[in-house]
Amino acid sequence: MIKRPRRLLLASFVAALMAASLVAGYVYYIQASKVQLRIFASSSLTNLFKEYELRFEGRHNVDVVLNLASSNALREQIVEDLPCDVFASASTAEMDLLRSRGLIFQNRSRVFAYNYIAIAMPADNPAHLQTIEDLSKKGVRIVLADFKTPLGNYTSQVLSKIESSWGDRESAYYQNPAVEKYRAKVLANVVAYEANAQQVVTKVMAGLADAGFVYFSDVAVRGVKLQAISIPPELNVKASYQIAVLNDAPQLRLALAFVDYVFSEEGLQVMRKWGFTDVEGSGS
Amino acid sequence: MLKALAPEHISDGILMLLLGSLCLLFILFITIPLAVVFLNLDIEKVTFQLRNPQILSALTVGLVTSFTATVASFIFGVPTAYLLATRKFPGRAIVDTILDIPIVLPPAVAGVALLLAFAPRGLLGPALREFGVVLPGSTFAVILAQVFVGSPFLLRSAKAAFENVDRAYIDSAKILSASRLRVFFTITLPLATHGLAAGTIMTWARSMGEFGATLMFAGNLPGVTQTMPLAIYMLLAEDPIASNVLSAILVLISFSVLALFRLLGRRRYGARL
Repeated sequence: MIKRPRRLLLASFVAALMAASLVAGYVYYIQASKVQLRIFASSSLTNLFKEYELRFEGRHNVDVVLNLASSNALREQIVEDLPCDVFASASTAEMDLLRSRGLIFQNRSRVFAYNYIAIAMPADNPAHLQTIEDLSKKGVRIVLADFKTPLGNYTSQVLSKIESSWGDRESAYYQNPAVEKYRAKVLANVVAYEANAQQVVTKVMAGLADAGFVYFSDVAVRGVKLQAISIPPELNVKASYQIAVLNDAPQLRLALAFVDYVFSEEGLQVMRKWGFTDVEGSGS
Repeated sequence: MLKALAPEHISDGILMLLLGSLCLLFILFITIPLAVVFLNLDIEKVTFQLRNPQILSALTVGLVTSFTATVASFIFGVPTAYLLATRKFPGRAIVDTILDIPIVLPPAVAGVALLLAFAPRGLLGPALREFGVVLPGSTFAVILAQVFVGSPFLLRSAKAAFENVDRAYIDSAKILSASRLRVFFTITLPLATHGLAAGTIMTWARSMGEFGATLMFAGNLPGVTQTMPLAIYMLLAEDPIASNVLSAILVLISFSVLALFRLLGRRRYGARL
């Protein structure tokens, strides 16, 4: 019992909606009828794996579906039996856990890239941070990755290293009082713990924090969007990225092909482009 | 001193000024963020972004899932609403309340609850896997999450619409010995159209905007479970303009939904929430 003009309006709205949904349904059907290769990758690999996705799809008739999150969250999803073909982790620990549960194909995971920790600031650097010790100043707003994530774990190690090397009066590398109790001072400045590495970068890039501890690869490729302070090697941590095919991989053959592709000449070249250190380059 | 503050001493002018400024601040608070969504956009950016595969796939997944979820909510919700509105049975109030819970439930809780129930290691997960079904990470899981949080809107609206149908019409039809089905389709349903339409639209809008439960239960896989709100969240860092364009699309959709809702006349025939 709706009045005529209103009925017309309602009908046209519903018709438009149904038409849009039908078109969407058709597009979805075409997309979904392709074979899907599900790749679970650390969020710090976002840019790199998006390029891998495009390039790999160009070579194989497959729809690569990327699940990007913190490695520990992904590991949990794999343990929970979510379908997954390839897992690329930012830490050895997560991979070891899966291997101990017998979930890794032929128990074989390979280190495919290295990364380091760096400090990132928004492009305009609102807190005027220049050095590592500036982050211990009162009132600097810092974001860190949650300590349960690989990045959070590496960050925690770096903070302790800085404190015990530069901030310890007994140490040969002692700098000045500003770096004493560095870890506690930095933690007191933390305004947010993010769920994954990508979110830390997001917060810093959006200017929601003055600084964040991120992966070197994140600052290496964002010259204009982020400023960075590098952390010297002796205070830094080397993050090893591991990749493996899952035992229950629905697309085992394609999964193995993808891992081979990562280690191919082209794969390694793309990896260097996105600021990662490849395995050959580091000599180990 | 206190007497000066007594209600009868405050002049109408001051009162109106106070109310007016509160009202103005409130309007600004809501409109400014909504307007800013469109401020950075121009036609060129929008048309460029409409060719962005991630935006297209988010639109696709969003439309397919919200449409299916709405149809499913309708198929299950309308009969349920009819029964709740017209039949008295023991425990009706309890059923009624339970079915409304998702409206006030935090979506994150809905996500956890769905995981506990349907994830491979959840209550029903092992049984589902016997049939080769793994819900999390599938488009179907998105639809389930949307039905879970969206269907109560249709249910409430339909229930109110059925309740407001005047018994007199139905009784007189029955005197003319019309069958129950005939009464439903010729009297009850036409009189309840407003409420059903309004509820359906609200359920669709809520499904379209679902974020928390989808993220937790279905995950965030582009082309599979990544709906528009999830894409907005994911693109924020790398491609703020893409995220902005998607947001603008959703604001427009929300606006047209509400405009339509108003046109349907919310007071008549129980078309309310």
